[in-house]
Amino acid sequence: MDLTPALEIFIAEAGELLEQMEQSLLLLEHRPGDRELLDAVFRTAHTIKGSAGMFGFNTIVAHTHQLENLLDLVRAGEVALTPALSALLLRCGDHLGTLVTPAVDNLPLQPAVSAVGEALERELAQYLPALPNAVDRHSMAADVALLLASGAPPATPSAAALPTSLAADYAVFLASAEPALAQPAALVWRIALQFGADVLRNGMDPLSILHYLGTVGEIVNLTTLWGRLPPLVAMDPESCYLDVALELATTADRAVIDAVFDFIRDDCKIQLTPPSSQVRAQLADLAALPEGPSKLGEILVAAHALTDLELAAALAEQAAESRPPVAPGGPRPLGRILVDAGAVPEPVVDAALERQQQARLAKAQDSKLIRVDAEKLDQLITLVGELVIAGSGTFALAQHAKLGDIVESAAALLRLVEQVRDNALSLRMVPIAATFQRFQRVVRDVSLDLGKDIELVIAGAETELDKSVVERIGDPLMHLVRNAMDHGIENAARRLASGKPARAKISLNAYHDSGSIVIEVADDGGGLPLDKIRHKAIERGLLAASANPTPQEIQQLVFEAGFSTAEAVSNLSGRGVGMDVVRRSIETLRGMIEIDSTEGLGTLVRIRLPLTLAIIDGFMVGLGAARYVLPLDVVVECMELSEADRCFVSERGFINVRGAVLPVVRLRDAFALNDATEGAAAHAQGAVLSRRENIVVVRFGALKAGLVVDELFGEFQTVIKPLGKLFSYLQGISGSTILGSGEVALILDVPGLIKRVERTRPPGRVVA
Amino acid sequence: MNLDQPAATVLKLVGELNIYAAAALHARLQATLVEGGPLELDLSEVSELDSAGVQQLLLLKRECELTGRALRVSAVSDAANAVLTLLNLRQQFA
Repeated sequence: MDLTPALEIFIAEAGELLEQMEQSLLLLEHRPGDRELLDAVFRTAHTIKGSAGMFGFNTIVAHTHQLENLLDLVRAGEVALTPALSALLLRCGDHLGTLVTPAVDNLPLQPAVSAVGEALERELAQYLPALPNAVDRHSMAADVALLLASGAPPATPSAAALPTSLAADYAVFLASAEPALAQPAALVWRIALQFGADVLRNGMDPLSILHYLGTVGEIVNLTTLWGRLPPLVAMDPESCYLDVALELATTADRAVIDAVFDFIRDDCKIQLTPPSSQVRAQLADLAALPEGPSKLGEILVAAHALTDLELAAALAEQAAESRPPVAPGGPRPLGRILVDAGAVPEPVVDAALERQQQARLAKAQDSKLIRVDAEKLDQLITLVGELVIAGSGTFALAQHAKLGDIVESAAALLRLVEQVRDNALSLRMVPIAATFQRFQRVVRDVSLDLGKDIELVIAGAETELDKSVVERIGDPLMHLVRNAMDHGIENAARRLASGKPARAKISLNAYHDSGSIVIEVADDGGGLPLDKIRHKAIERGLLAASANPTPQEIQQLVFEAGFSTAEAVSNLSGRGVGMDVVRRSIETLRGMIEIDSTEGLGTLVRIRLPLTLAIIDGFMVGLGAARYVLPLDVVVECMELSEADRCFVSERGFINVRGAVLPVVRLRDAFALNDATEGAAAHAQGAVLSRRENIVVVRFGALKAGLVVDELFGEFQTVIKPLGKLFSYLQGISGSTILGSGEVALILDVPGLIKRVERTRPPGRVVA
Repeated sequence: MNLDQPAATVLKLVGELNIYAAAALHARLQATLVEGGPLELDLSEVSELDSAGVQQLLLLKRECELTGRALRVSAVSDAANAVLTLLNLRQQFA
């Protein structure tokens, strides 16, 4: 796809706007009549239309146009925002989303898509009474946007900034351009008309313009000027030489007055001077203008000081002046042109210019946020990763060489590298809010499908985690939320019978906890039916009939492959592929999932994920000559393995640590490292094999375990290199890293190891 | 009759004084203005007056002023009156 930058911005912007629109619509369902939300919906629709119009995406413009008309009526209170209408608007938003790609690729619409569009438009039309006014108002703005954009074809990179600013400005303009309601007394406008020579030949009589003007207001004080009449013989009887200056008393606003001259605009110079009270009103409008427009003309238009057409004319004049031969001093600034033309009084232009300055300042602050290609960030992270490795290597070498100065300087370097790493990683940290917000719509739609009344409560949406994790957490969460709605939440009758409120609650929560991020999906539904799960598990051969598992163990069975207890397979979930897929995708993220359910009260699924996938603070240990790295976050403490404990470990697999049971695994056994060959190898290197062993106590979630290793090497910053496909079957290893010396160290998969310990843990609670 | 004042030439314009008749009207004015003496303009049978007609009348008035000829409007039809009133030119053609 060869996209110009402007188009890319359009795509990104359209996506964001549609998301905003959806969120606002969903919020509106909870806060009906919230004016700001309604305006927000309207603005997003309008902005989409504006920018689509600039690229000539007519399908999008047409669809949004309808949407906008309807939204306008909703804003005016003429159409009520019923749940049915809200659902329709949401579907329109979805449809717009499907229109973007074909429009950008310049492909014809799939018949199915256009059928959807037509159906939606028919539905929209049912809400729309025949109100031509509403229709015209919005098409005009799009036309002007087109007109203004025509000077700079969007295909050029320089136009990249155009769609966003222009479209946004027009949104503001329209939002502020309320119809002139209940203007009090008539105001006197001064109008000067200089008729072109060809007016009469073109079939227009200035008299009829004056008659027309008489319908808008009362003409007071008219002067006919005939100073341009040539000498008798030189006169062309069919040319017009007349000018008229008049005062018009009217309650109409500028646009209405200006529209009178639509027919003679090409042949005629028109000066509209607002009444002085109007100037004051315009100044007030300027002051009250919301943030947004940054172009002088747009500011004036938004403040009703100028019509779109006058603006277009002035811009055209400016463009003409900037074509060679350019007058000395260059083309006049727009403000000067407008003042010279008498379109806008000078004080208003000055105020608008001041306003523009403010808008620029505000914009400069806005632009502290920049869009960066995700790929560039990834490259940066990769480079920082290499930097970390190289830095660690240098530090290790310096230590090895025992050169004090160099060790010190390497340590300083390493500290800086660490800061760079943290900063680089934080660039990729994004709040989970966007992911969570998507579920508002999911919960809404699915609860409608299921006929259940479900509310979604979001907490901790500001919690940040790595972008790569955010991207991959959406699908598992979707499974969990759908499962909760389908299986977890009972129907209203059952809820009421068990004393719960009819309205069910699903909550999404996220928080940081000791170097991981925890995401919880909770529902207040029926909980996991332990007996049913047990029977099913025995039936499926997942559990021995004689086994006596704890409730906790039974609950975890739902994560086994091919497990589903739903009596009826719905189209949402219940095909038995849900939970084990969820578990697997969480595990590929180096995360862990657990379920905690109380029958009758609800279920809580807790996902624990590492903050980032790329770089970790490691803790290096040694087994013989081999080096292993543990993520530092999981290390709780280290201790020496006493002779007495050593027996305990080999006999029972656990030891007593300050009165608590600690399951222990000997890594040497777990990885089947042969003591003899190890010893021989070490011997060959001339090293003395240390028989002292250490325990590293690690924690993951609520689980603790001890890992028996030979040597402790301490903290070590490292970049995780994923293992190749060939090694994907390896258990207990999650990746590899390169040491400063060039050696390879394996990164231990602590959750995996803990799980292994868990399985061999003695049943029940043992007090040693 | 005042003998110091030569009898005014009466220019009676009839029918439509509009863009279609403008060329003819212009020719007639030119012819009329070749002669000297005061001019009396009779607009009583003007059925239609448009801007093209109005500017011919204004031209006539200006030429008279330039050459020092007296111009008097003896009668004005309702149609012509309405237009001259709208354009605030009624006093010019008193």
